[in-house]
Amino acid sequence: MLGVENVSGGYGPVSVINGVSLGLKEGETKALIGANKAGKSTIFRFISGLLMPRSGKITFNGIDVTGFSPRDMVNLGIVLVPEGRRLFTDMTVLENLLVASYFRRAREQRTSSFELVYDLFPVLKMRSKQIAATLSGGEQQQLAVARGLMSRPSVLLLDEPTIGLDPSARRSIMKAISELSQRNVAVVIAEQNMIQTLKICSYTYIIVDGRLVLEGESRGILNDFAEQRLPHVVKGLIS
Amino acid sequence: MFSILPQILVTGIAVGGIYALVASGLTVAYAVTRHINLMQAHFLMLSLYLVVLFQSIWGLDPYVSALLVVPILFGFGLLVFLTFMRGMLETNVMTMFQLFIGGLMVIENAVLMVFSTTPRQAESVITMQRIVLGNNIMLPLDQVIACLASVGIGVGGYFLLKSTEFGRCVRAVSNDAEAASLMGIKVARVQWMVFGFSFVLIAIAAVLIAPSQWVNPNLGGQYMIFTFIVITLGGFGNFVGALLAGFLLGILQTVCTAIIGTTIGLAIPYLFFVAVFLWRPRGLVE
Repeated sequence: MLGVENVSGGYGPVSVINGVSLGLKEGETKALIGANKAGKSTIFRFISGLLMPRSGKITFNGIDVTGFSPRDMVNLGIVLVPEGRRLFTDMTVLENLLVASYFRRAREQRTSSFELVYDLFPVLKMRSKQIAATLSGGEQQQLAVARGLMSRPSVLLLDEPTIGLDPSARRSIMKAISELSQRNVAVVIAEQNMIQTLKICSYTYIIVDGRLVLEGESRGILNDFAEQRLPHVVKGLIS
Repeated sequence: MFSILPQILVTGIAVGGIYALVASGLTVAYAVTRHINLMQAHFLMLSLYLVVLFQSIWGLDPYVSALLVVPILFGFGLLVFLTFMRGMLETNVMTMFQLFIGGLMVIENAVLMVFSTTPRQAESVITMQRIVLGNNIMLPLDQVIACLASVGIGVGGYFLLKSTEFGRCVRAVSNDAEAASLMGIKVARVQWMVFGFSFVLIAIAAVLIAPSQWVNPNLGGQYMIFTFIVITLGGFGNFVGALLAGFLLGILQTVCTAIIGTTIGLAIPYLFFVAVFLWRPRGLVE
């Protein structure tokens, strides 16, 4: 469904990503693990259309979508939930969700989208008239994921969805994400060092300094970690 | 004194309404572009000259000339956005500031060259007409129209921003343009539409004040200062704040001028501005 083929690029003259390839099929949940500044967000910016890769190709359902605008990507069903939530903080919870279902394809499915997000995150229904800035950190992250879902994605890119959250809020976000594969939403989660992330993802990519250094079934990587067979450069990322 | 109070209030709301229209357009354009269009008040002056011009050529009443001035100003708004701003939205504020200063100098001098310094005014069929209430309350009709129209447009604009899909998109772009693009919103389209809309508000303001406003090439500068006070007082980028501050300052200016005279009365809004900022540095509405 989604293919990232040998992509390289960065910001101006600075190269951040060097020859990274990823793949994602319908309903899959994959992890993209890397330290801070490893290039996870940059890969997501390429896929979501916010940044043009210098070389390489991004494909979606067999079509070359490299260089498509963010709006085109959203229309196709590729939605990014950016790092730091980036909520519309002056607007209410409900308004945030409505804005995310503004374009025609999402607007036509708005009623079922609300059912989906309120089912996954019941607290948002109770807080629907509350200004987003006044929510707790965990609730804000739930709203960020819910807002992404309102755009009816077939691919959801989650950039550090649990950063800064307490264990309980982290668990509730992870539980909701793990339910998405049953609803045919393919997910890529970028995280720094989370065993919890690997547990809910079938496949894992590990990125160091903009290069893919390891990939494989998450279960295998966890086993290798338990038996201390992971390369030294990767070991520190999983804790 | 009490007999002229209703008239002072209507005049105040009419004057404030004009400030509110010009400032709310400016502030909502700022909200989506993060640049203050310093030429806003100069386009008000230009619009007034267009009204005068259409009257001298075709004998159009100012209110009728709105049919031409509004689309022309919308076109000017698009032109300014597409030529000046679109490619430079990411540039620093000072560069844009200099560009706008250059732009307003061009407008002012072009108007000076074409129309000279002689003040001009367009007359309407309702100029000097009064609405009489009771025995001795007389309200100038053009001011009553300006008062009702500006209040109506302000309330309409508020509901447009608050309750419509497009209004929510405008607020989303104003909150975080990149995040809005990730929601599938065409950010550039929202920006040019809002910018064009801010020029439509200028055109409407010009038509509303045309029957009672003498226009000269320096008028833009006078309105510019007051418009900035209004948007600062209302809280930068805040549509409701700009509306409230516009009406408040207009009423304050008119009441103070009527009660204590023009010498100190005109300075009262500025004193009020300073006092508000000592009390609420982020403006009246956050």
